[in-house]
Amino acid sequence: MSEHLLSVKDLCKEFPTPAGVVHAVDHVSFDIDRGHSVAVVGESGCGKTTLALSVLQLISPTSGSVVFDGIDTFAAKGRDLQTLRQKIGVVFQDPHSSLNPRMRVGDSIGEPLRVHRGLRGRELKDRVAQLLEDVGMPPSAAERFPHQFSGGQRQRIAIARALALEPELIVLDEPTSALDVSVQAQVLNLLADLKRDKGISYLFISHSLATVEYLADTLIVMYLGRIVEGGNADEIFADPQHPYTQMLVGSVPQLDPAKRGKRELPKGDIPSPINRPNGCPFSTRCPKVMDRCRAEAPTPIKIGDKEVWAACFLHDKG
Amino acid sequence: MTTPVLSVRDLRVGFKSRQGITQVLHGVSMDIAPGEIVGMVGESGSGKSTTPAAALGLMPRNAIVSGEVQMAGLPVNVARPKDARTDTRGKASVIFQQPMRAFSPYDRLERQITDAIIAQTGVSKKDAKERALHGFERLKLPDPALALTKYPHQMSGGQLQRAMIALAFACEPKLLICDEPTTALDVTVQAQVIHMIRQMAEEDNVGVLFITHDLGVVAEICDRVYVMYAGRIAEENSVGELLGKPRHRYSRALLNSTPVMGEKARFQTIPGNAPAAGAHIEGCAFADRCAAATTVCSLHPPSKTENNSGHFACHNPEPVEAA
Amino acid sequence: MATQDITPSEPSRLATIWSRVAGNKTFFVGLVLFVVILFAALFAPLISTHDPLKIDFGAKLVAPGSEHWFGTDELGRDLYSRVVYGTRTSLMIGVVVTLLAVAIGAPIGLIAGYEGGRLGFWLMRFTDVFIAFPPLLLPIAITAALGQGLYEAMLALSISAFPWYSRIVYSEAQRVSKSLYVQSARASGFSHFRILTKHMLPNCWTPAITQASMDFGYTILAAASLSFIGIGAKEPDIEWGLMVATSRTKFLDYWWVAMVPGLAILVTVFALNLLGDGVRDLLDPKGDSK
Repeated sequence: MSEHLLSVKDLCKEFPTPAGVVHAVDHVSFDIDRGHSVAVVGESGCGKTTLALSVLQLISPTSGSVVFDGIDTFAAKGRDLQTLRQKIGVVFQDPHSSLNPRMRVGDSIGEPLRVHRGLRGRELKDRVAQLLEDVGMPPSAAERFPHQFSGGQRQRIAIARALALEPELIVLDEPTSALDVSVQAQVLNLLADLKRDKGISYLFISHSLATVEYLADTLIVMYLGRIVEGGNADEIFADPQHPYTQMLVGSVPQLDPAKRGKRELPKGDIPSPINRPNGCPFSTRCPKVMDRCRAEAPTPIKIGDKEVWAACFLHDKG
Repeated sequence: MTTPVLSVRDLRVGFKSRQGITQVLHGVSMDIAPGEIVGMVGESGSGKSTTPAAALGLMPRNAIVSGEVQMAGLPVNVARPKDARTDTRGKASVIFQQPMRAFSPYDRLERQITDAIIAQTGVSKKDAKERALHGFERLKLPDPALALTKYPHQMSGGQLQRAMIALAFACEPKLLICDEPTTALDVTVQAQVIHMIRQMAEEDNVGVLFITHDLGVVAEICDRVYVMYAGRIAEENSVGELLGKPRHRYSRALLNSTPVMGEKARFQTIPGNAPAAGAHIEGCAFADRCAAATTVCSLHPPSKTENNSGHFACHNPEPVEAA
Repeated sequence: MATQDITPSEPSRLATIWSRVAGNKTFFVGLVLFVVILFAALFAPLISTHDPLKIDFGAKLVAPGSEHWFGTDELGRDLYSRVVYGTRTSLMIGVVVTLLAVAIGAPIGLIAGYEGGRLGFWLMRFTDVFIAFPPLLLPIAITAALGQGLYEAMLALSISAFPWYSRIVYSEAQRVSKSLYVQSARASGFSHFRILTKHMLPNCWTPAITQASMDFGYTILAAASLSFIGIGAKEPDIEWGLMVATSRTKFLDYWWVAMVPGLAILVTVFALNLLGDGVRDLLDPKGDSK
C-alpha cells in the first residue's frame, strides 16, 4: 500500500495557441490520502479543470507525474491502465450533458459493471438498484431516460455511476454549480455521507468557497495555473495567509446585511492566461504588492507551525 | 409617497398548449420605488424570471397574461405583449445572466451599444457614443475608449457584464431588471459587479429588480426581498427582517440550505420537489414538502398576513422569538 | 435518506409519434401515397392486368382505354402493368442506394469526428475527393469500367452519395465527442468500439436519418435520369426512366408513352419528398433528439 492514494508532482500542462502559450497548470504538486478530501478552488483561468482532466488522464500533461496507488498514471498501459480507470470515478459539472441521452439511466449506471466486472442479468439489476438507493433514488428510475429527471436528480445518477466500481477516489468537477440551492444542499449532504460511510477520497473542484468548506479536509487555492496557498482547509478558512485567498474569502457574499460594505473590494480583473504577469501571477491586483513580487515568482513556503503553505513573499523573510 | 417605478397587482401568466393551459404565475403583486433595490429570490420554476418578463411584454405568443402593471405611474397593457413593449420602451433596461450571449459576436461593442441606446432613447448618434463612453468610464473598464472598439470575444466575462451594465444605465431607465447577472461570474468579479450596480442605482435613482437564487447576494445588495415559490409570493420583507426572522417556512428552508462560511454542520434539506409548472394545488403550494404543515395547509391557500415592513402567506409560520 | 419522487412516465413513444403524424398534413399525404406505392410494389402480380414483359406487336401504341388502362408502348406492352412493376425497381433503388451510402458514409464521419487529429483529417479529405466528382461523371466512369446495368448504376449512385453522410455525421460526431458523457465513458476505460457504437452513434444518427429520408426521393429521380441518358437500367429491366427514354421518338404523337412513366416518377418522388419532410419535422425540432 503506497503512502498516499494520489500523488501529483510538478504537474505542468501547456496549451500552445496562436496568441501565445497558455500555462494552464504550472508546477502543481499535492497529495491525497485515503479517505481524505482535497478541494481545489480558483476562478476562471486558474487551471483547476485542466488539473482534474489531467488526473483523470483525459488530457496528457506536458511534464510532471501523477501517481495513483503506486502506479504512474501516464506511463501505465493495458492492464494497469484498466485497473486505474476503475479505481477513479468522475462526476462532471453539467447534469444535462453528463449522461447519455439515448441510454436508460440503469444502463448508464450499470455499464461500468457490465464492462469491467462482467455482471449480467439479475445480478446487474440488483447492483444498479442498490446504487440508486445509495444516492436516494428509487430503483424504478433505472427504466427512465435522463431527460425525465431534474438537474439534481441527474447529478445523483451521475454520482451513482461514479460509485459503481467502488472507486477509491472520485473526481468532482463543480458538481453542484448548476443546481438550485436547496438541491445543492441535498447533493452536498449525500457526498458527505458517502465519504463518511465508504471512506472515499474526493478531489473536489469548485469556485464556491462555502460548498468547499463543507467537504474539504485539504484546500488548494489556484491562480493562473499556480498554487498560491494550500494545506489544512480549516486553518486556511480561519486565517487565510495569501492575499488572493483573503480576497476570495472576502468576496463571498455574507448573509448579514449589516456587514455590507465593510470589506475591501477586489481590485482589477483576472489577467488573461495567455499574458501572465511576470513574477507573482497575482502581482497586478495584490493590495500588498512589493517590488520583489513583480520580479520573481514565489514558491510555496510553510507558514509557521500550521499545516499551510503559501506562495507569497510576505511570508518569505529570505 | 413617491410613485413606484414598477407596480404589479395580481399578475397571472399561463401558457397555452395542446394539453390546455399551464398556469405559471398565480397572482403576483409587488412594488419597486425609485432608487430601491428589490430582490426576487426563488429556485427553478418559481416564476422569478417570468414576472418581470410578463411586465415588460416579453412573452411568447402562446402566453396568457392578466393583471395590472404600472411603470412610473403609467399603465402597461400586459395582456397584449406588443402594447406592453411599446408602453415600457425607454423606461426599463434588462441585464441577463450570460453576457457573452447578450452581444452579437460580429459587431464591435461601440456599434452594438450605441444602436441599443438610440433604439431605446432616440438620442443622436453623437450623444449615444458619448453615453457609451461615459458608461464605460463609470464601470471602470480599463482604457474605456479602446474597450469600446473591441469585439465581445476579446473581453472577459466580467468585463462584458460591466459593458452590459453600462449599456443598461446609458439608456437612462427608470427601472433596471437584473436576471441572475452574477451567477455565471467568478466570485471576485461578482463582488465588484454587485457593488457597481448598487452604486449606480443610488446615483441615478433607478429602481432595481434583482433576480437571483443566491441569498448571500441578496444580503449584499438588496433593500427588500420577495421570496417566490411555485409562481406565488411566499414572503416579502426588508432584507434584514427576512434574513434574520423569516416567517414563511420555505424562506426558512431556503436559508437553511444556503452554505455559510464558517459553518460545517449538515444541511437541513427540503424533501421532495417543487410542484410541476401548472400543477393544480388545493391549499398551500409548499404544504407537501413542509415539515410544519397542518391540516388546513393542504386545504386552503394561505392568505396574506401583514408583518412589520412586509407580509407573508403561511398558515403556520415560523414563530417569532420573544424579544 | 429521503427517496426522491420522480416524474410520472411520459405517454408511450408510439402515442407521441402518432399524435405528431396525425397533426402534420403534408406528412400524412406523403405517407398515404407512399403506402399506395409500397402496396403496388408488394402486390404487383396481383394488381397488374397484363404481363409487363409481354410484347404484342398487334397492340402497339394503343391509347389508354378499357383494355389497357394506361395504353401500350411501342412494343405493345401494357403500360399500367409496367408502371406497377416499376415501383419495385424504384423502391429497390431508393432503399439500396440510400442504405449503402449511409453504411459507407456514416462510419467514416463517426470515426473522423471521434478521433480527430490526423486520422480524422485524412478521412475527411478522402471523402472530399468523392464530393469533387461531378454527379454524372462517376456513373459514366463506372459504366465504362463495369458495363451498363442497374446494379452498376446503384453502386455509382451510392458512391456519389456517401460523402454527404460522412460530412453530416462528422459534424455531429465532433460535437458529441466533446460531450461529458463521452468523456465519462473514456474516463471509465471503455473500448473505442463501445463508445462509438453505444455513445456516439445513437446521438449522431438523427440528421443522417433525416437526410436519408429526404434523399430517398432524389435517388429515384437520379436513377431515372441515368436510365434516360442510357446508363444504368437496360432492357428488359422495368424502370420508369428507361421507359421515358425508349418513348422519346414517339411521344409527340402518342403522348401516353412518355407521360405515364413520367407521372409515375413525379408522383413517387413527390410522395417521398413529403415523407422526408415529415420525418425531418418529427425528428428534428426538439422531439427526442438532443
